[in-house]
Amino acid sequence: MLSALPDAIGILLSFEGLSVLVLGTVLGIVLGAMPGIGSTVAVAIVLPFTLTMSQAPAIILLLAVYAGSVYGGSIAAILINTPGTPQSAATCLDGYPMAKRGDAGLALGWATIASVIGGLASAVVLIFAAPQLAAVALEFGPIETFALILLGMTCIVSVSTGSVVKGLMAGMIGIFLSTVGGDPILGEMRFTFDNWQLFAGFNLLAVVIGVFALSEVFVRASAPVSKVSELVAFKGIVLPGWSLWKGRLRNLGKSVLIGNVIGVLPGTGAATAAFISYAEGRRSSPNRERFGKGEPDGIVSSEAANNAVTGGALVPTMALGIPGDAITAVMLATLTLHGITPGPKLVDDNPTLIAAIFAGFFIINLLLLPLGMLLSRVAAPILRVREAFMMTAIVILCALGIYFVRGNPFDLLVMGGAGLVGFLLRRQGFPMAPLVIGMVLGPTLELTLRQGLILTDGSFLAFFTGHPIALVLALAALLALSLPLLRVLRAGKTHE
Amino acid sequence: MFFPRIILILWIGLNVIALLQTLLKPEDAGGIASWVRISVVVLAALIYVNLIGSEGFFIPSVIFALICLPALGIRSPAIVAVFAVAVPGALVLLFNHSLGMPLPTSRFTHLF
Repeated sequence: MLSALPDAIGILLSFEGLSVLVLGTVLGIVLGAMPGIGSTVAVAIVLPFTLTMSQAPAIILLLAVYAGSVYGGSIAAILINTPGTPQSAATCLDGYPMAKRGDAGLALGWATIASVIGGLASAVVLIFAAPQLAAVALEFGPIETFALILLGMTCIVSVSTGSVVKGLMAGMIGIFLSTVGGDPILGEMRFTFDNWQLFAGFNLLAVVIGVFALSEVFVRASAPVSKVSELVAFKGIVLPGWSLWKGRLRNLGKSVLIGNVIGVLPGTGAATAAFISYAEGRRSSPNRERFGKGEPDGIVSSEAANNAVTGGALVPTMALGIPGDAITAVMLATLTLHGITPGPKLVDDNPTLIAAIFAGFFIINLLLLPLGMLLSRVAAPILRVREAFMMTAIVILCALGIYFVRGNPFDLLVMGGAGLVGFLLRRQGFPMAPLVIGMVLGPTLELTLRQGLILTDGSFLAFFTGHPIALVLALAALLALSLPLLRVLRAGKTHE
Repeated sequence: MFFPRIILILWIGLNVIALLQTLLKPEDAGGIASWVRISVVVLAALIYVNLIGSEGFFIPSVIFALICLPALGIRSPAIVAVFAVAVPGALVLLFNHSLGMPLPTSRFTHLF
């Protein structure tokens, strides 16, 4: 991959490369700062517009929106006590009290520095860990790949928010949707009802936008109308001086480590990392009694960890083709839409693209500092915009984005249907990430299963008796699936 | 149909477990704040995405915004009207006339 670095740098330093780096980070910060949009919706809104770009700039733009939105969430958390993204919920606990006592600029300064350091550290982890992991998986045949995807899917649904069963059901719906269209081995049409629009299956992009962005609008329309939050006095970011960092570097390092480790685990997410890091910070900080009252260590714990997750979550996505959360599932969908097959061969088959993504991700995190300082003053008034305007604009932008890609009105109907189904499922507690992951990984799961069955003369048992790696991966999948069930049973016994 | 059949069998099994869970411990899906609001927004959005192909981007977008904004609590007619025309108008200007990437136009004029 190192040999591809000069070409990758060339892509990043081109006009298109530099534009997407800056534009993506700007969009990410602004969209992330708007309460109610969140990282997944932000990435989903921008996704259709990347399809006219070449592969590397498209992925880099989405990465910039992702990293920018995680940071942008802290602006709303600190200035109006409403996290722009769920990842920034823990930042409210100390960020807002600090802002209320007149130090909003300094609170955002702590958040900015912690975010940049967390993001840069995670970029380093991504650069070194992903190729190593991919090298291990490179020798995988169809049977091992099948077991790997099985593990990825069980990991993600088993840590789904809410019910494990509902997570699995959503995953199954996603896999089933991916079977609509041509059979990958025999070529016969399945579930198309002689409608030629379905011969190539459901448009993945339309489903992704529908279940994430459009259903979010419906969910918000079903909730009480929110009032415009009160903005605290803010005159721009004030970076904390070196002397103020004394005694806090240990907490920063620990938070970065927590974020990176949790990020690599599929399905855990930045919000969990931020709260675990915050709890650890409160336990071990010398200033623990000031936590919750505007303590900088609280802001540092949350922001360093949630930004450190971003690179970590990309490790299994890039190395194995297994998305770690909803956002990386959207990233994976983007790769598929650009004609790149996600999986263990991703790094080996696309060295320039991967090198550009890694280097680009590092630069994006560097850009957070100047752009964050510049944009926080612009983003602050946006926080007062009524939710109704954002929701209406999201629907219009989603429709525009979906039509823009293929000019096919049928895709708009798929998006509308996915939005409605997504809304109904979300109301019943079904998580949407497993559905998208099922739809993205479903075709590879089916293909590898059927290739494996051809290799073993139709014996599914032979998948595991003759393939030790597949056996280990399958056992890990079983463990990942049974652990949450055991937790539920244990919780039931404790209540008794 | 081999693979979809496996998926459907697993899905039915999971449905049975989910049904048993619900029977043993009923869940509350949470109330809807306003049935009128959610019905208007969902219907407007579904009709809107259905109309873009035949009526173009601009006119359905304006009508959608005119319906959706009051439903979501914006009471000032002037603000609703300005937003409803300005946002789709700006997007049409940007895509059709600046970027040269034509959005669908209506049956009334080729301009929008």
